[in-house]
Amino acid sequence: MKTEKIIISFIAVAIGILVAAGAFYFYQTTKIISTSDTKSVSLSASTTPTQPPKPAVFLSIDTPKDEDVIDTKTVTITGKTNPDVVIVVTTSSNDQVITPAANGNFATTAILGSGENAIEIRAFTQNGEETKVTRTVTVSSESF
Amino acid sequence: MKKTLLLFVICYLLFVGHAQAAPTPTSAPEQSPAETQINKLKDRIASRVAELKLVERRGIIGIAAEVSDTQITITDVQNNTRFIDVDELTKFASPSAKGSFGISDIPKGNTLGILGLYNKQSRRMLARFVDILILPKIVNGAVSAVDDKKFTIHVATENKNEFFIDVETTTKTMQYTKADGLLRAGFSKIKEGERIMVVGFSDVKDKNKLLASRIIVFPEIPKNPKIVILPSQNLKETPTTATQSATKK
Repeated sequence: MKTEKIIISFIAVAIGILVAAGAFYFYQTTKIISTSDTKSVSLSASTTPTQPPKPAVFLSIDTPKDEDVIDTKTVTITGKTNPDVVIVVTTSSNDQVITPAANGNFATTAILGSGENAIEIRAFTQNGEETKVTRTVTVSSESF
Repeated sequence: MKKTLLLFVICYLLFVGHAQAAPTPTSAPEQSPAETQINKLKDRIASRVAELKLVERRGIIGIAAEVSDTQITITDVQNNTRFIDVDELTKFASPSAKGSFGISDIPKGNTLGILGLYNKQSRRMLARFVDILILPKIVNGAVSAVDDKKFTIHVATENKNEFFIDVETTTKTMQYTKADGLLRAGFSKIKEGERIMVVGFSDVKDKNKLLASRIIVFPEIPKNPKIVILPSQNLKETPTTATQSATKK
């Protein structure tokens, strides 16, 4: 009889601990902080970074990637720009003047020389503004 | 006594047993030698794949800023400083070199083409081939003066530089219009104030003097609004005067 009492006491203590732990967990997850205890911080205008002015002409080159190494001397240049611009692709040995499609996409091929080549792609708008992207492409069949 | 012991066991299992049950690792079954070898091979392949993903072949162009026995510092075409490591496998070449050419022969300020292995983690490149390049210069701007007797032109650029362009009989002059595209044109087609692009090689003594290889004139596209052509620039100055004024800026 005495042993049974002890066992029941232990079980009661264990259940008590479990209930207390559950209640504490429930309290923590559902706790709401009142507005009087919170502090609002507003950012002043001086700390907000100013956006740089957007250029009137944009030019992004999809291929080739900068610093690419290829094993053929022909490279396809693709990208996107404003639809009404004139694009000039210049390599060490050749120039090409192209215009993009109505959606601004353009593609052309250029012949490169062996070794490192700098490809300069420029876009000119009808009001004279311009932007430039340079890609370095290396033609090499060396394995290392 | 037995009941007391049972009580302690129950308590132990209730409080401690649960905590210890989760992290207890299950003992791995013993592997056969073949399985061990397969696992080792798998690990080696995985580490090699990771290594290959970290390193890639790249080629860059830049101007030599510093050269030491084991490292070259360059400024690339995007104006970034790049560190190039050099080892005993790196090969050096120069079009003007007559004999052997090594790292100590690279002068500062020269344009270099570097092909090697780029490490994405360290952002350094291990050079396998280093070549001195002679690349043409591209000048894009507006014609500020034309001398039809000497066949020379002045080109003002966006960054307030002025280039003196020498047009030779070998210079390929083109004109671009929307209707006709790119057509061959003569020197007479170059007019003051027009947008122009010149590809040529700099004079050894004067970097603002160019010997033109190719010229494209764009009569339909206005010049960059940032380019200001001053009235004094329209005067047919001597090349030396034009160069000096450009250098002072």
